Amino acid sequence: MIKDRNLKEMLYRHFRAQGWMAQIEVPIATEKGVSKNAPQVTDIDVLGIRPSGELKWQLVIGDCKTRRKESPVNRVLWVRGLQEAMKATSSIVLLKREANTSIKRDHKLFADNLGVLLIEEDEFGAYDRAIVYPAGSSGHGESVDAIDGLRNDVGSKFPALKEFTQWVMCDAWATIDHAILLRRILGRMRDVRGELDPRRNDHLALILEAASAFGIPFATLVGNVFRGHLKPDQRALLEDAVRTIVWGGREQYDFFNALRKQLIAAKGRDPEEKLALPKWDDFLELLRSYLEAPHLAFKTPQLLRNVGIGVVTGESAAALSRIDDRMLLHLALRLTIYVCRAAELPADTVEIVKKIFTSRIDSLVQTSNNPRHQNQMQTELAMGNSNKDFK
Amino acid sequence: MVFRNKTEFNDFGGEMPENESEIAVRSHDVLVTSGSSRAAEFDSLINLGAAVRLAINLRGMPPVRYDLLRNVAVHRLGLQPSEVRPAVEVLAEAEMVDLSTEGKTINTVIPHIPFFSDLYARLGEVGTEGHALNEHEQLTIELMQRLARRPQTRNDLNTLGADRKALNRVIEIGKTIGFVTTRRARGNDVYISPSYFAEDPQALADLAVTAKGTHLSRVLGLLKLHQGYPLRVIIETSELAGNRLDPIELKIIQTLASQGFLPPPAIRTKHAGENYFIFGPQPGVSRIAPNDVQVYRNALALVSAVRQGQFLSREYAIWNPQLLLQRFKERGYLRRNSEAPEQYRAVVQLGIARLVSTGGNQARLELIRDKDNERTVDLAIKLVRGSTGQPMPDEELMLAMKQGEEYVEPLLARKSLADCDIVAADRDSIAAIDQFLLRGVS
Repeated sequence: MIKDRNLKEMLYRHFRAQGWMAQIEVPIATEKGVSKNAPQVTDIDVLGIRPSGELKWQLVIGDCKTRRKESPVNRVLWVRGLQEAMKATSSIVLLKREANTSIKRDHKLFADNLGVLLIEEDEFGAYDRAIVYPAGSSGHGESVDAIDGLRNDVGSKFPALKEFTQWVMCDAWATIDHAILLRRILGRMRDVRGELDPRRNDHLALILEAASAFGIPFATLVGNVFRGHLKPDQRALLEDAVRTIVWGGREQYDFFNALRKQLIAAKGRDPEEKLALPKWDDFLELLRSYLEAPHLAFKTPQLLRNVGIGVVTGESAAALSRIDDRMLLHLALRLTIYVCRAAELPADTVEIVKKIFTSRIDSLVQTSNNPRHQNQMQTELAMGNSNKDFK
Repeated sequence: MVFRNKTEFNDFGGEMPENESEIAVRSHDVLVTSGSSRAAEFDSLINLGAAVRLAINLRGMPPVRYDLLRNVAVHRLGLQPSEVRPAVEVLAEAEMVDLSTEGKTINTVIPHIPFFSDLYARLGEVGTEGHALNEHEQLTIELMQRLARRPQTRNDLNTLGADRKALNRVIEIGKTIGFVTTRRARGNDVYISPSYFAEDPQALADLAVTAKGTHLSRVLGLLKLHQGYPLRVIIETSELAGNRLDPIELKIIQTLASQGFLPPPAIRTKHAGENYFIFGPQPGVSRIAPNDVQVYRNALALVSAVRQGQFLSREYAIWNPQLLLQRFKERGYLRRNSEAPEQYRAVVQLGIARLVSTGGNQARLELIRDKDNERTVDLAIKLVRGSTGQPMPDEELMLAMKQGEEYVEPLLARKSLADCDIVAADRDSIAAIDQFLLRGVS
């Protein structure tokens, strides 16, 4: 059961309809705390992640409150603190108000100066329709219920997957360090690889959701490499750059690499290769492919979320039919295949995923961008109409 | 005769290329230099060459309709219509493309050609697996491998140890369809491949006869690895990038620079006078698309300017030319410098960059950003790094394919029908065909 569900739904759809990634109820905990299990500090009702023109992600914090006596300006100050902690770009505070207790205009201006949009539930429809012009986001395909359903149902039906589901669909999103997140997602997936059955729609949706989550730090990496090296055509150059970023700097990489070497040597074996992500060659090829069109890395997680939710609601074909970019579909498929192989998921996972994507890619390639086909269609339509007129 | 493996071929007297990568690269070169001509003796070699040709041009591409790819392959990449499908199937077997099919019809080709792993080795392995190269194909590969290093005299080719009749036939095919040209020099036949040496084959033939083969081979190899070094520095130090040169090799370099087939770019400065910069031979048609020749020449001018700063600077030497060019590409400028106006004059005249005065006698070099200039800098970086000799994709075509069909069709419209010339069969084959027909008729 989602608390303040309606407000969260409004914000979630608003974010997603703008082509952003979004997640509901993201718990925040101290990353480097002293307790064994760091207690939750607070949670973000709806976290928006949007691509910037500089090939970076920007965080937008969405805060929803239905307590009618909540002080709007206190809420703004609270969310501003959270914004600082998360290094977010801006925030939206969406409040339900009682009659005659409207938010004061000066308080709205005060909020705006702090990078916070302070808005009442009753005003939000007009705001939304102006930003997502003209129809607004209420018709956007995905609902928070589908996200919540996937998160809770898989967890309750398959206890061995509960922790992973909760982590990949909630906790992981609060990790600001994307290098750590990139490695952890693969590690966590490998922990549960024996539990996942891609023939089940809910498991397949979870796999796509995990690939979507992986796509976020991966896009950060793509942007980082592109800004520093554009499109390296030497493997050694790309490899060196990526290793340093993924392991948090040269010094840290050398430390981990030496540690790994000693651990393997202690077991009486000789480490043949340097420390690297699983399926390292495939990873470099995937990254290099994205560098041809790096902005597509910042659209991939959204696409995979769409398809994942589509799989669980039986609407994957409809979700895919809204995507007209064959290169985006192609790269998203390759990213998902990489995640499946790196996590060593059952072998048929790749075939199942390919089947989902290939039919859309195929139909797009056959129909779109084909003037002859369009002309033919137009001719057929014209003939159909004229025949109708004749009758 | 078909050899099942390398040992059999070696026993026969041939020297099979050491790796599959070599077979794939040379097959590609034969295919490209052959244009629309084909020899009846060639089968697997053409399939493999066609697969390599497609792979190079499909790297980084979005999914593409098979019939569009077929048109592009036939009208733009020089494949025959019947060669496209086997080539695509080799790519699929090598797991470099996925195919979306309906029955036996291929609808869509979904490419994932590797950027870094050795696609030539993989294609060479797949392309020759179960379709062993026949005697003529193997000899052709070996011939091309030798011609890539340096021109060959008839005596050089005799050391191949191959069957004389087969060798003559391969040379005859090569001359007819274009992957070998012959020149007479000082009473000798000299064989040159236009794939590797585009400039003045007559002068090169003359040199191949006068210079000892191994010396010429070493010099050409060193020049490919260390492009654009100043001739004066090479002569004065008797070395090229730390490699000691003997008097014969120095003489070869001087001859290469003076006889007109490696015209070296020159830069004149007040402090260092006029200097010539020497490059490896300009790659031929299988390495550079015809519309890229100017880009290649511009890159030579840029590399010369950078080498000037590296070896013959007045005050501020360039310590890492590759890094400097990389920064030039990323930032779009080089920091102000008093030597820039003289050093980069040719670069400015060719429209690659402009010099912006920053006061006094100092100027900053700014890249004029357009597609060709960015490729010029890319190519200059590759040259400074040492030519890899890998074939280059047709950039114009790749861009068109990325943008969609309406961009591809105008390119294809330049040529409406694919031609196919079949090389006349040799005498023995003609006799065998006549015999077959006679027996069939009786």
